[in-house]
Amino acid sequence: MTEDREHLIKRLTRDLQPVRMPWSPVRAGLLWWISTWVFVTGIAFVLEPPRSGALIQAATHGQFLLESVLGLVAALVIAVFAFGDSIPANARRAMLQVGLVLAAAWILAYVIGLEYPALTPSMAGKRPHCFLEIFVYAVPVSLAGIYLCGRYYVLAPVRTTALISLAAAMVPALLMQFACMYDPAHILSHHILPIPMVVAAAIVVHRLVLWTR
Amino acid sequence: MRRAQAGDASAYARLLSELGNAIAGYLYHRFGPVSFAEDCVQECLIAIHEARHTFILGRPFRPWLFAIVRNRAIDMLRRQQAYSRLFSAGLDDVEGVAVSALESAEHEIRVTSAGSLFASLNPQQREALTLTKLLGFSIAEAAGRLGISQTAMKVRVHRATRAAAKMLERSHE
Repeated sequence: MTEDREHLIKRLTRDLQPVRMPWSPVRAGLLWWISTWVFVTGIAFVLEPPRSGALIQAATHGQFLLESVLGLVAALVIAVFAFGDSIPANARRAMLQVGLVLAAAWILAYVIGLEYPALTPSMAGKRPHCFLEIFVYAVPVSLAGIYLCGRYYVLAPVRTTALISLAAAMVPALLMQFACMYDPAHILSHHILPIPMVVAAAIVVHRLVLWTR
Repeated sequence: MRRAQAGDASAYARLLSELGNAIAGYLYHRFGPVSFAEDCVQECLIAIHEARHTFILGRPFRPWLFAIVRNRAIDMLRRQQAYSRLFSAGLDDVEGVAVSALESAEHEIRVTSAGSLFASLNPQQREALTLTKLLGFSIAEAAGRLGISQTAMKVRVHRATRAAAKMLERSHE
């Protein structure tokens, strides 16, 4: 062993304190996901009420329910993976693959909906700033998620940032399924399109923060 | 590790010193006699120290440890590339040195049977990594040495780094 290494070990072990064990990442991911829903739903519905009859439509139209459940599960799986991935060698790649496949299926459902919509497309319940709202809601919850992941030990920061912001942006996008007008073309251009933009912005900001350190 | 997490300094010092030796052996086996190995060992020890609260008792220790070591090693490789590019930008003629240095570095890796990761790369990728990582040439110098364009050299180094990273990841999955 070199002298340098010996010196380093002495420095690392000096005044060693017991570590505080963090929450299980799965539990933290679940809590973040639930808090995200509470935060986004709370603000969105305070600003403007949901589309009337949206919940009943979910109960009576299978395809509409399927679209919602696909997005819901995809966001949950991606969020839990991102938190699990914050601990070295903890998360399983298969989980991420499942999450991404579900997210792709969720988007595909709207593409199919262009031809075979789950509900009759209508302007009822349209929110004037739904596109912007998704950005505004996704940013703080993304930041909170990235901060919480940072309390573990993130080995792939860009991946974690991308996945957390993806899950964070999917929540308001999904909420708009009930809060805004239903039209697959509108959903794709105003609710889904902001998602990759939020992810890209989060990665750029993250890179800038790392670069300026 | 349990005792280290509980704050037992002597157990922790023993653990770190054993891990340091294990990591040094791992790096030698994977990369051969690279100049940055000791720096990498120390970076790994610091990373283990910073991440020690994330080790979940009852879980296997090796995957946790080597995920960190692999990550640090890949990071170090990338940094070496950037550093050598920056550092050797002012050097003039290194052509003559390059021939013998490249041959002796490749020879050493083969003869010592160390650097299994380097050895498993294809000859072009191995050559690219040997020139830029082991011998510290800039992209321009390495490209000139091989008689290819700088873009082609960059692509080779990038692919070789990715291949090495993938091999590292696969070896512990």
